Amino acid sequence: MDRSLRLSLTEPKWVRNSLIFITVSFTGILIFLPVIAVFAEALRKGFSFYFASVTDPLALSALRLTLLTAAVTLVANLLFAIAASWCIAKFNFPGKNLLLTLIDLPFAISPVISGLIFILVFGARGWFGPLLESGGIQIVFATPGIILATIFVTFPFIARELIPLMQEQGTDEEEAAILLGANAWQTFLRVTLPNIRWALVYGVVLANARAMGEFGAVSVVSGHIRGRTNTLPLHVEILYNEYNFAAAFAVASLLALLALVTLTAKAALEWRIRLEYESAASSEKS
Amino acid sequence: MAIDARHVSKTFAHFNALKDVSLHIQQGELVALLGPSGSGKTTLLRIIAGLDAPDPNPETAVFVNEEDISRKPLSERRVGFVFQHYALFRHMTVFENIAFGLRVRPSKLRPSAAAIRSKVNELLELIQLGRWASHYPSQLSGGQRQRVALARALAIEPSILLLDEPFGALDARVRQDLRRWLRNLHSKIHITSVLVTHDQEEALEVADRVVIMNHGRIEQVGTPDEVFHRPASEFVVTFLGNVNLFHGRVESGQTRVGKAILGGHHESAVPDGKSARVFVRPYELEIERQQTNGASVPSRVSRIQSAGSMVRVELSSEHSEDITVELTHDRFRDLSIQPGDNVFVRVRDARIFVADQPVDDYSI
Amino acid sequence: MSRFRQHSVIPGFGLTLGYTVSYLGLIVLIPLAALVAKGTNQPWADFRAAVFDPRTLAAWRLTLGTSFFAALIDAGFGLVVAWTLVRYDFPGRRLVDALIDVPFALPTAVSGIALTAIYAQNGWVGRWLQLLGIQVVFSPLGIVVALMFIGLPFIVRSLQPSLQDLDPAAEEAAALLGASRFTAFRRVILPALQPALVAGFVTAFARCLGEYGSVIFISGNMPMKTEIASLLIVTKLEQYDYAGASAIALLMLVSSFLLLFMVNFAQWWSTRRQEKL
Repeated sequence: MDRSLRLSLTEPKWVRNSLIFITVSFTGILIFLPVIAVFAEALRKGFSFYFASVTDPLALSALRLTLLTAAVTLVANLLFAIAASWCIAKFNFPGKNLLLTLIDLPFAISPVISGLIFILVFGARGWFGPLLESGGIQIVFATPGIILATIFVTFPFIARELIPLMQEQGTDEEEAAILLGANAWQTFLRVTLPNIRWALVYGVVLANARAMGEFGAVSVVSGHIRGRTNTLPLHVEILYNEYNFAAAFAVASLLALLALVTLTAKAALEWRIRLEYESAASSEKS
Repeated sequence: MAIDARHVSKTFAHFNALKDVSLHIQQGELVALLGPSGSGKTTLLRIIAGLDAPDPNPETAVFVNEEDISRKPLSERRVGFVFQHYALFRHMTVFENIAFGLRVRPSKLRPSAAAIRSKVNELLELIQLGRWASHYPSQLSGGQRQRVALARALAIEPSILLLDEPFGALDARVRQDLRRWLRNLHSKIHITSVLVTHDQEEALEVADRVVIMNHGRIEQVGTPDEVFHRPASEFVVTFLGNVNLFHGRVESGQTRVGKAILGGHHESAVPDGKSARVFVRPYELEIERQQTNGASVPSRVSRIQSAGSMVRVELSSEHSEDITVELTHDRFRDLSIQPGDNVFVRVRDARIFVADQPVDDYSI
Repeated sequence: MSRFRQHSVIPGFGLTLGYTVSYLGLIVLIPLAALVAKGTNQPWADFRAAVFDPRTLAAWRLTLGTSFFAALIDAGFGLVVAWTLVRYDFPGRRLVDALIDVPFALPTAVSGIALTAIYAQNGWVGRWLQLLGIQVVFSPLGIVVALMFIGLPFIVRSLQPSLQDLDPAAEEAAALLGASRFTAFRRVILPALQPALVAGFVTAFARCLGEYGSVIFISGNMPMKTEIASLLIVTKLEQYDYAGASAIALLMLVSSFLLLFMVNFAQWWSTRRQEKL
C-alpha cells in the first residue's frame, strides 16, 4: 500500500501512545485511586481495629437493615418488572410510551428529591400523615419509609433489562405454547422465564447494588436514628462526621467489596445476555 | 366438512386484510392458500387457528369439525400450528420441544412419562431426527428445525394441521426436499391440513386443492390442474407461471389479434368492439417461418437463450408486449433462427379474458 | 377492553397492566404529585422568596456551574478514553473498561469519603496539588472533581456504541481523497460522534445537578460558598421548611426534565435529518 495512504488510515504512533497514556492516567487517578483509598484508609489502624469496626453492634444493625431493605426491595421490584415487561412486550396498546417514560423517571430525579417526595406524602405533615398517625403507623423516619424510597430509586433497573429483551424475543414461542395447550402459568414458567433468566439476574444484580448503596434518598427519609433507622451508607456518614475515619472507611470497604462483586457479576452476565439477544435475532432469520 | 369458514372479514387499523371470505375444506384434504404478500392468506390461517379473531359480524362463523371455534377455549382445541420461523422453545432440547404439548396437559389427561417418551420417539423416527433428541434448536439446521416444529405440532394429535409458510425461510434445495417429505407424510397420516405459501410451485406440487387469494379475497379454488389450465381470472393466470399477453379485439364473434383470428365462435354473447386480453403460455406457442393459417402473428426475434432444458426465444410484435416462446432443442435446431429474423408466432392454446371475465377456452 | 388492544391469545394482559399502572401510580405519580402540590400550593411571594433567596441563588449557581464544568471536562477526557478503549488494544485495556463502571456501582457515600481522603491536603493527590498552591477540598474545585467522577461513565458509555458503529468505509474514503488523519477525524469522525457526545454530556450534566452523596463530604458545605442545591433541600427539610424545600426541588426537577427532553428532541431531530439524506 502507498505509504502516505497507510499513514492516513491510522494515527501516528506518538498520538496513539499519548492517548493511551492520557486514558490510563485519567482513569487511574480519577477512578482507580478512590477505590484503593477505601481499603487503604480502612486498614490504617490495623486489622484488629478493622474487624472491631465491622463487627461493632451498631454496624451490624445497620447491616441488618440494609439487607432487609435489599431483600424486600428485590421482591417488590421483581414482581413489578415481570408484570411491566409482560404487558409492554407481549401486547400492543396506546400509552405504552407513557408507561416506558414513567418507568425511566427515577433515573432523572435527584436522590434527595426521591426521599423528599415520600416525606411529603407519608410524613407527619404530609398528605397521608394524619391518617397514618391515627392508625399508629410510622412510615417516614422508620424502616417502611426507607424501603419505599429505596424501591423508588431501584425499580427501573430490572424492568429496563427485561423489556428490550422480551420485545426482541417476540411472542411466537408463547403463542406456540398456548396452541399446544399450555395455560398462562405454564407458558410463563416453562417458556418465557428460561428465555429471560440472564437478563433477570443481571437486573437483580444492578438493582441490588443500588439498593444496598443508596444514600441520598435514604438519608432524607430515615431520620438518622442510630441502631434503628441507619443503613450501612448512613452509618458510614455518621462515623465520618464523628471523625472516626478509619471506622468509617472500614464499613465503607464492605460496600466497596459489594460494588466490586457487582461489577464482576455484571461483566460475566453481559456476555451471556448478548448471546440471548443474538439468539432472538437469528431465530427470526434462519 | 372439517373446516368451514363463512363470511370472514378482518381489518387491522386501517388495513382491510380479509374481505368477506368463505372457504370449505374437506376432511383429510391438504389445501394450499396461495397468494402474494398482503393477500390475507396468513390472516385467514391465524383466524382458523384461533390466534386472531375475525371482525365481529352476525354472519361470520368459523367451524372446525362441526364446532364453533369462537366458543371453544384455545387450550381445548387441538390445533397443530407450524410457524414460519419455527418458534421452537430455544431453551429446551428437541425431545422436550416435542413432548411439551403432552407434558402441559392437566394431570387427568396427561399420559404417563413412559407413554410420552414412546410417543416422542415415534415422532422422532417419523421426522428422521432420532439422533438429535438431546440437541438444542440452535444446533440444528433450518430444515431440521422445521421438522421438529412439525413433530411438536403432531404430538398432541391435532384434528387439523395449519402451516404458515413453513418452508419460506429455507434454501431452495431444502425446500424441495421438505415439500416432498410433507406430501409423503400427508399420504400416511391424512390429517386435514392448510398450508400458506407464496410459492406457486410449492402449492401446485403439494396440495390437493389450491385457494388463490389476492387483496383479501379468494380469486379461485380448485385442484392444481384446474387453477393452472382453467384460471378464473386474469390475476390467477398471471400469478401462476409465465404467460404472454396479446392485445386483441372482439369482432363478429371472434377474437382478433391484428390480422390473426384466435377465437372461434363464443358461446356467451360478447359484444363486438370490446378489447380482449389473450394469455398464452410460452410452451403453447409455435414459431414458423411462414404463415400457415390465420392464427399466426408476425414477430421479430430479439433474443435467444439456449442454455437450459428448453430454448427460450424472445420476440417482439405489434400487438403484444415482448413474447417469450419455449421450444424444444430439436425444434429450435430445425428452425435455425437468429436474432433479427422475421418469423410468425402461432398460438396453439390460449385463455381469453374480456373485461376480466374468462371467455370459453380456446383451442385449435 | 377488546378494542383497547388487538385480541390476543396470550393471557394476562389485564392483570399485568393493572398491576403495573397501580404500582407506578402509587410509587411514582402520587409522590411526585405531592411535590408539585406542595411546591405550587404556596403564595407566590413565598415561592419567589425561597427560590430567589441569596443563599438559594448561590447554591443554584454553584450547582449549575460545577455540573457544567465537570460534564464539559468529562466530555473532553471521555472522548479520549472512549476512543482509546474502542480503537486500541493495550495491556490492561479490559481493566480500564471495567473501571469505567465503578462510579455506577460504588455507593455515593463511599466515593464521597474516598475522594475527600485523596484530595485532602495530606491526601495522595492533594499533597502534590498543595505544592502548586491548589486547594481541592472544601472548595468548588473539589465539587467539580467529585462530579467528574460521577459523570464520566455517562459520556464514555454513550460514546462507545457510536464509535463501534462507525463505518470504516467513510474513513477510508476520506484517506483516499487525500485528507490527513487529523482532518479526517475532525471532519468525518467527530461529526458522526456528535449526537452521542451531546447526549452523554447532557445526561451527565443532569445527573450532576442532583448529586448529593459524593459531593457533601468534599465540599465542606459552607453556605453561599460550597453548598450545593441538593444539600440546601435537605437543610430546609431539617428545618421543617417543606414549602421551601419543595420549591427548590421543583426547580431542580424541571431543569432535569428540560435537559432530558432536549436530548430526546435532539436525537429525534438528528435521526430525521439523517433519514432525509
